[in-house]
Amino acid sequence: MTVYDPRILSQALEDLQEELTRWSTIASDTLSIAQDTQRHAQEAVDQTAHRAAIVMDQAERDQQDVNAAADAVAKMLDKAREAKLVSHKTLGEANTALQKANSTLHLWEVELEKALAWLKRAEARLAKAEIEYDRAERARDAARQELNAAERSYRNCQNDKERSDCSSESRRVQRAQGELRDAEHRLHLAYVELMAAREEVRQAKARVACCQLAVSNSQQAFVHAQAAVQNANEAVNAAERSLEFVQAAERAIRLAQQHATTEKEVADQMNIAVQAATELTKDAFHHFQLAERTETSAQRQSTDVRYELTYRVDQLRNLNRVVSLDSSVSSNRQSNYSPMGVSAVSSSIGSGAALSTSQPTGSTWVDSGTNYVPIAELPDPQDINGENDFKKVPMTEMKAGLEKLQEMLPIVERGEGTSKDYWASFDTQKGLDYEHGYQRIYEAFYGDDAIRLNHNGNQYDIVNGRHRIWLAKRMGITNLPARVIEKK
Amino acid sequence: MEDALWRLTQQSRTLQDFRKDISGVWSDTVARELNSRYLNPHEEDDQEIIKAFREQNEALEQAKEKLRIASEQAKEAAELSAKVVESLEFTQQELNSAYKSYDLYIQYHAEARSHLPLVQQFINKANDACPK
Repeated sequence: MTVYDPRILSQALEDLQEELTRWSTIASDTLSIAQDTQRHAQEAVDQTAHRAAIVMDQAERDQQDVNAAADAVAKMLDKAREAKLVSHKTLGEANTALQKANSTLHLWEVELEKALAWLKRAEARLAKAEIEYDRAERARDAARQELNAAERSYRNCQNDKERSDCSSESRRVQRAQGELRDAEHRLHLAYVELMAAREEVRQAKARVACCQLAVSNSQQAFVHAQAAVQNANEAVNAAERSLEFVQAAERAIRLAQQHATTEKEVADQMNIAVQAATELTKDAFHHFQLAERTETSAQRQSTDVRYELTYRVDQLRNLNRVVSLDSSVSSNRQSNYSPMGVSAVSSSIGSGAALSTSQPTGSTWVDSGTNYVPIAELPDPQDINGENDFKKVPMTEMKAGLEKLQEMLPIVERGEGTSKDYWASFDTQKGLDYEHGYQRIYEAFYGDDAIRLNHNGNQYDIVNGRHRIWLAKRMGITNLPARVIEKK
Repeated sequence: MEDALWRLTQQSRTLQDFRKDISGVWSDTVARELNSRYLNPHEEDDQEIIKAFREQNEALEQAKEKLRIASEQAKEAAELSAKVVESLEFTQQELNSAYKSYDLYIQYHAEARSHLPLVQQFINKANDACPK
């Protein structure tokens, strides 16, 4: 038996209550802040995950766009290269055609010059032939007139009686006849020459005409060949420009491909970071849940211990009053107690009577362990009126727990389910987590948070588990396991 | 959250210090009983709560860092996407110019090809016009 100063102890216990109350408030605030922080973190993760999905979608669309553009560039590159080759080939053909047209034109221009020279010569011959022919004609006419004159002179001589000899006139006639024959012969030759010259002029003119036509056609061929060369040159330039543009496009699309590839890699990395953040947030939530569960347990302990402390402080105050009163009445009795002291008898482990003042009867509280107490004998907790009074554990959850307990009781009574490990294994087999499993119920009824009763004579006082008892009564449950402290 | 966790840690320390102090004036069987039934489990729970909150906080800080990295990567991806768009626009411009030049090539080439048979025709006509 130990002796303390009840006033100091009372003050100390009140201070302890205050510290516990402060702890409860701070723990509750911390839990609330942790919950908010967790929620905000989850929102941030969700937002970033949404953003990551958008980034990934954009990266994939960029890649698709780049691939489509790259295909277009590749096709155009093939076409432009082919165009360059074809245009150069056509330019070669056009140049060959131009050379051919040029040589043909040159040929026919030379031929035309020759024809014109020939025509000139033929025309000169014709002019000469015409002069010769005119001269021969005039010579023939003169010869014919001489013959006529000679014949008239000869006829006059013959008709002249006075003349017997007309031989000179006869010779003149013969001479004139001979000259006329010569003149006619020369005229004939001139005529033949004239005809030949005329034919040659006609032939030369024909040659000139056909050469002129050939030159004209050659010129047409030359013009077309020039046009072909000009257009082929333009085609070559256009094809080369096209190739240059598409090569620039190819360089740009390669750059775009590099950017798109990097963008996709960054988007993948972002997804990995978001997944890591998601996992970390889940881990954090598990820690939060553990903290929340433990905090609930600690708050219950804090409440219970404060309740106990209140009880003790009241007892100490009462004792202090009694001691003070006794000290004023009997100094003899005072000698049995410390002047301001309290005698603590701690033979029990029952919390409801853990600290008992040294009373005249000398009675003590003894832990009788876990008993199955008839519910009907327990008082009905007066401060509980319905579901709204279930703050720590919702009524529906507690009801489910009591129903589970009814399933567990036969197993516990058989001596099988008498450890939390048994029920942990049971939950694993059933695929239940802690929150929804049987281990939690076992701990609630057989562990630190067991229903605790003080039993004094025929009366039970509820130290812990008022809500469970209130609900069990209304569920028609007849017995519950409870830790009972007996007053002896 | 760190501030709240710090306050809780401080209060836990204060509470435990107070318990140590009070043990000097009250250490009988009843005190031990109260300690063993309530206060010691409460202390254990308290430490577990602090540990759990600390681990939650650390995990959230790490998650925050990951989100910061992710955010930077989102920015980087957006910049790269802008460069992709820019390169694609440039590619498209160059391709359009290439198409235009190619169309001109087609036009000029067809024109050039159309002259070539006429050249031969007129050469033949010239050569057929009169004998050489």
